[in-house]
Amino acid sequence: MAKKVLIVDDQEDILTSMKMLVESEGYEAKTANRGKLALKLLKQESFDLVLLDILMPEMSGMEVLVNIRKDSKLKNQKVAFLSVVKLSEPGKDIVKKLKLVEYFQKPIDIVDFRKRLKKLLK
Amino acid sequence: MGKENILSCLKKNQNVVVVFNSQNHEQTMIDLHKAMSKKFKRICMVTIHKAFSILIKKFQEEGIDYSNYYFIDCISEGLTKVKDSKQCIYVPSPAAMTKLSITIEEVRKTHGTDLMIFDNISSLLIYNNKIAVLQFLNFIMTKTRQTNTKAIYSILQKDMKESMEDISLFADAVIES
Repeated sequence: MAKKVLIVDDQEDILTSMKMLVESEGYEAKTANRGKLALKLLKQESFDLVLLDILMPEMSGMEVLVNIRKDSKLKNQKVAFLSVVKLSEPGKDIVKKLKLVEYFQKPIDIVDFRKRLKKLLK
Repeated sequence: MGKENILSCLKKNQNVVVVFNSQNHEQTMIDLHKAMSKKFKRICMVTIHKAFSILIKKFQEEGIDYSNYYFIDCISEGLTKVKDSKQCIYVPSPAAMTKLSITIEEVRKTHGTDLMIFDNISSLLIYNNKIAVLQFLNFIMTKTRQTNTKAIYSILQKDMKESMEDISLFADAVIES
């Protein structure tokens, strides 16, 4: 069975292109355009990986991640950030504590993204 | 934590966010200006909550030498007719963040600023949504790193807790004043 990835971003065009990219690697991809929707989907079905944008309205990626770690059923969920934000050194420490498995900075290098995604979903 | 700790933090980091409570904001900023006007060659001061004319009056009262300052005033033009000044450029409104970021970069290039003081993020939040503000700050901080300069961004404690905690992900340091 194909591994499942949830892509969370407030920009529809990014959701569409990331979904195509993830599916082209043989994985199943679902999308959510809001943090709250992502949390709802995570409670309804299981995902092998969540690709999460940071700067989103209503609930930021950080808030989504904190909520995931607080939830007893979701706390071990594999989460990676996918964002334009360049993490600072203190920022890297913060996400390390929140057990972020990977950080993809936009714009992504497709070859590198595929390689790292494959490693994450091995 | 006072002026000395902020300055020491600025020595080691390029983008420093200083969190103030509403009581100590004004005095700590004045103390910082007194110290920074002597330490840095060219300072760009972005003011979101105080008009350039009021600021320089305050600087004069406090004996701060602002001859090496260049001001970007984001509020005067929307409130009153502004006079041209060699030391100030006006941005129509704090809501005009694209215009503000272009102006900051132009001033950085033209005046060769080595320090930018951004006072303050809380006021920017009155006119813009938090995601737009975070995107704007991420852009400015990236440019600060690329130009190998330094910047201080002030924010009130309440706003840091309520809306801006994500800034800790990309600022080099966040300190309480």
